[in-house]
Amino acid sequence: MKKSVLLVALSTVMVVLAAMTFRGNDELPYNLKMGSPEVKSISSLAFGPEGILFIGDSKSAAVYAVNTKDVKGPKSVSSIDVKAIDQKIATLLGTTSDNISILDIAVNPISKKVYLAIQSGDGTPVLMTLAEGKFAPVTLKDVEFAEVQLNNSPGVDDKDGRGRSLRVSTISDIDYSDGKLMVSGLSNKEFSSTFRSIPFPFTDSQDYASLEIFHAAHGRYETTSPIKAFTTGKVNGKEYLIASYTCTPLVLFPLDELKAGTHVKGRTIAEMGNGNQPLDLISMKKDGKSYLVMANSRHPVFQVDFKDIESFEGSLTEPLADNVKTDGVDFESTPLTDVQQLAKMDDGTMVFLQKKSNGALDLWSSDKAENLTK
Amino acid sequence: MMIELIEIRLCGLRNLIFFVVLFQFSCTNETEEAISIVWENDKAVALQLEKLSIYELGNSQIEVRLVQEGNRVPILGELKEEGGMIIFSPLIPFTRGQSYAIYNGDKKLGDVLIPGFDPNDSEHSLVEIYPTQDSVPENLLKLFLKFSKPMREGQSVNYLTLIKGDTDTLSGVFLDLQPELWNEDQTLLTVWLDPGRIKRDLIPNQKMGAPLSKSEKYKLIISSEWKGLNGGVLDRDYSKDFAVVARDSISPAPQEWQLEIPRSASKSPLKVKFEESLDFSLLNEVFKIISHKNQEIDGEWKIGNEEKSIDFTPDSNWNKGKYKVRISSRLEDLAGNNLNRLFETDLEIQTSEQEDSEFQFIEFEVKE
Repeated sequence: MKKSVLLVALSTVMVVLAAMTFRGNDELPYNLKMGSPEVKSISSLAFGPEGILFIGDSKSAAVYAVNTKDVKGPKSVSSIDVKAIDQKIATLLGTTSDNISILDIAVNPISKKVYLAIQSGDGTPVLMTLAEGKFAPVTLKDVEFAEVQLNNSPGVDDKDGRGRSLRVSTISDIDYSDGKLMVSGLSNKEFSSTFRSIPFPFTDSQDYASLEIFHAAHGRYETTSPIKAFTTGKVNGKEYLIASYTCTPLVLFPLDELKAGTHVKGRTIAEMGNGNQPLDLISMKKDGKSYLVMANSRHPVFQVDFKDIESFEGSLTEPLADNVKTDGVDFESTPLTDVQQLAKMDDGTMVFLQKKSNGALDLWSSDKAENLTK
Repeated sequence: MMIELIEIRLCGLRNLIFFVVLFQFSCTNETEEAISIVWENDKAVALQLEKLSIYELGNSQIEVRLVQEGNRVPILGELKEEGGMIIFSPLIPFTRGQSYAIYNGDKKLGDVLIPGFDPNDSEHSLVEIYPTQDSVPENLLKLFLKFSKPMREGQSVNYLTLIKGDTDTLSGVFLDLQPELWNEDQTLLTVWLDPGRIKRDLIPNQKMGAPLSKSEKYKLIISSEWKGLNGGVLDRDYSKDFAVVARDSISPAPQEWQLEIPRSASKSPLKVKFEESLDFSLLNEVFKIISHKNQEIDGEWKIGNEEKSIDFTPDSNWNKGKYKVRISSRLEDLAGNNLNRLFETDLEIQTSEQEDSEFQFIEFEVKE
């Protein structure tokens, strides 16, 4: 009896092992297929599981998931300090720094390599990595990939359950969390926001939730303005979408309420100031505390303690009593100015793309969140 | 999937005859056959080197570098052999007006100058500024700039100036949005006036006020320094004067529009006249004519003067009978109010809860 049990167990293990060993080409992980995605632009980058890189392509109105196979952890993580990175990249590309833009950066959480989305003046996109001071181009030819189109049929209006158009002309931010790819989009026509939550691996049915989310100023005026940047984070044990709008409010939405066809109203927790554009939002840890860190177009990098968000019971969506004025949750300015891109390497390490006073663009990392003020 | 930089080697090139080539504009240059530029859509996408017959595949190390003082960095790209030629394709096209040096190891094989744009060819112009009318509501949300040729992205804020009265240059009026909102061929840019200042009760609105004030006059200036995708600049500075009138807090109402109905058996246009200027970019795509059999009628739409009307000319003659103009509810006026909702909904004003509708319709009948 014991022998037969052992035999069954052994054969089961062998079958499983064989299945794993002989996984065919049509069984690539995450429903990926081999091919060369026709990426027309690289507007946003975000990492998913196991070295999967999401590429937001505004010109194609699509997001590509590419298997970078870059899944080997580094022996040690060294600090990044590349002076005049724009000039260095320009020289490698055979041009001058005024002819290139760095549109986004993302750090592979496994290999800790920095991925850079670069665009030349004529619109040609280039994807590059930076590791140990060396740049390398990433080819998108003959790779494992999957794609999700954000506009279904060209010329045919794409609508949600309430008849609103859900076309996207520019991807403003993408992020991956817990099996879902989130995409915020702006339209060059309507003044509205589209936000999609797309399960990954992508499926043929594209069962994504598309919705418009509203926020109000002091309970009085409600708008569906576009989301510029967002991240996710835990507030009081619950997962929230933390979204910053082009008209400056910072708004919390419970992730589990973001369902297609619903009129979701967020809780405005702060306003980010005059004419300011939020550029990147990430969550970091320092001394056991969690912080939301935000790079801005007109202000230094802001930080806010997640505890303050949790304890901020009020909402700027409530009408204010006369003579009471609040900007909501207390945001602290860090000494970091002119940060154009902000990425998270790990809980304690941030990567900055910063314009220096001499005009050069530097890429550098801060260890142990040393640049946070508390 | 990674292409390892930086050394790009061609195997097997042992003996190399040293030669220097200067490729300039002339196509009759006798050295043309040695190094030539490969063009694609007006872009210099590769350099082609004739592989001399005495070349042997071996230890060659072909590199292309941007000619810059002290620069020894090889350009990233792909090197391959095809039909007796060595072809180097950089990751991005070679830059117009720049020179590139081709090396084999330390030996320079030649220089190539990528010709700059022909100034007569590269000049471009601003075709139109929308809204075209010279008065706008104080809560104007968007402007559109239409150019004759594709423009370079990401720089609009540097080249747009708004002057109040005759002298007061305003700052922080336009939203510095990155990436900018261009159409696909990069000839039409949407510029938002800062919505945080327009939306009432937000802090920017409270502290700075709306970008535009009623009863004031403004001048929008577009600088000739603005570069096109091909490197050329605008042919001149452009400007537009406009006056600001009261805020627009009412959704467009198709039931109040006027129609000029054509006769049957003609291709005369149907004219739809709005009571106000509407959003130029949306006007182009929200209208359809539907027959009484629920079929879409093919034809051409043409936006009228100051975006206050639109004409529809059918491809075939009108038949006698009933039709409908179908309007997608996402059509907006100049202040971002669409057919279903206002740019900002005042929650203190109780309105009857109306279901959003995807379309609105205007019925009309073509008679003899």
